[in-house]
Amino acid sequence: MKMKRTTLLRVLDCLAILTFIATFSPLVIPENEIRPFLMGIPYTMWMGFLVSVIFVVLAYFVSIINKEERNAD
Amino acid sequence: MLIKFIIASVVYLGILIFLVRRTRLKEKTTSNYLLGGGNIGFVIGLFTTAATLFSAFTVVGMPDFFRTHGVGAWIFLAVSDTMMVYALLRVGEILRRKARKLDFKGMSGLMATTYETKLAGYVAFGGAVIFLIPYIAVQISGISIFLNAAFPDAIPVWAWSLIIVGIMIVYSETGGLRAIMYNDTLQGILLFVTIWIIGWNCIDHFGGITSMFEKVALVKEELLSVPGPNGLFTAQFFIISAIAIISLPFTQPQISTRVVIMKSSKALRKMAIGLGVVAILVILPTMFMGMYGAVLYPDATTQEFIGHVLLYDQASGVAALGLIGLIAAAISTSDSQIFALGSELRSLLNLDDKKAISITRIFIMVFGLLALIFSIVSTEHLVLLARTSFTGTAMMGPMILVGILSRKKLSKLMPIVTLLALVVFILSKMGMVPSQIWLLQTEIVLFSVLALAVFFELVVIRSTKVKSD
Repeated sequence: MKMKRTTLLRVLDCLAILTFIATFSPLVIPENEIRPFLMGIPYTMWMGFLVSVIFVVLAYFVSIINKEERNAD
Repeated sequence: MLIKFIIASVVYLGILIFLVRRTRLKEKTTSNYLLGGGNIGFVIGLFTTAATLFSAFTVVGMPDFFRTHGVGAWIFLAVSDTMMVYALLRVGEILRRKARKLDFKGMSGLMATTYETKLAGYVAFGGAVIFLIPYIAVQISGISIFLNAAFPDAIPVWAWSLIIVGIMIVYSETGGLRAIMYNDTLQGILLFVTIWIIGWNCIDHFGGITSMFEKVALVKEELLSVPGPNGLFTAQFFIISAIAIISLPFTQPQISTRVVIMKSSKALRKMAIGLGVVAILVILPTMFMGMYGAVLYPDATTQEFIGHVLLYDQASGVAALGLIGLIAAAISTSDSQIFALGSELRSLLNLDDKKAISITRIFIMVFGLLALIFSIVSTEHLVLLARTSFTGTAMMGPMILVGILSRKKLSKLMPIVTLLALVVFILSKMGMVPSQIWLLQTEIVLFSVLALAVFFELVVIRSTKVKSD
């Protein structure tokens, strides 16, 4: 069970690191590029919004996995 | 509007006084006065951390950032904040575990203990003082100037500063951290409601988000992409800002204290997730305000633009609320920072608790007075230190994280390298050291050097003695 938890956390950490790297790449911040729009929102804005939601979701999964972990209480 | 502002102020002060009376402490100890009893629940924890994090910069600076530099401001702050939340969840629990084992009184004291040298504590404390006092001073100064512009015939700028600092010191001295946290909750709710009312009004002006961006594209299309019209939002800028913001929970004492004093791991997890959601919800309306300003006030100064979007373009009741929200935002961050500096000093004192608390309370007043004086006698260097405060304190991040995460006996390498990095950073901002080395900004070079020092400390400098915590 502990190994499964550790593995899941590592997967989440990898996803977080990949998203971190992608944030500073032309995938999220292409220079002088406003298309494609999404519901009238320019590319960097809706991609940036998506990235922030991804991090909150990843954080939520970490909190679920850590629920039963040994804690400081 | 003055009358509505006075009414709103009286109501706000009335609630503050009620909260101060509820949290007044007769017997002040480190645990109840400086650490709020160490058992903060998720709701208070969320509001106090959010209020501490989102300062007047959120209400004034962010809309202006969006207006001047474009949608890249979302990556700069909102994305970095959510990255911070992830880091907080991964490292925050380890910090709490270590803090509880080592009788945490402040991050400076914790560093002195984990590195087994006072130098680490002095570096953490010194770094916090050098960057936080100017930041507090510039916030107070900015709000006071704005209030003076809104009510030019009322009282002079310095009098507004005096009132703001006076309010902060009274409730901090009386009720300690718990008073600050209850007030933060009030201020957080106020900020949230205010910013959404104003943001909604901005969207409403355009008739919708699509129409808003269409109008912005007509005025200045560069605002809708990076690097923005002034070329600010480069990858390097984003990386430096992200590192600075991600390390906030560990490098800014007012936030690290709140992480440690959460009553349980469950409360910390819920607080962190809530903080991520709140970050998105608070920064979104500032984007609406910025785009509104980009279309209607593209060439206005910051003060003119904020004056319009917060006050003149709103109904008088909303404007009064906006002013109170702005003051609340500045106070909720500044009081936490001033109080945290006091706590940091206490963590370095080896005296009996009663004496240490007395000295701490004196110094909280001293820090408040310093912030007041610097807010009135603001200089170019102070503004510079304030603007770079997040990056400056982030330089302490590697030292702090190694101290928290490492189980081995640590050398003095990290405190020494961190001290040198801080000095070089300040000199580079003053122009005495180049701000760019080859293709890289000096901050990136310094972070790289700190990363190398971490590698040396953890891998190269071996120790047979493993610490028993």
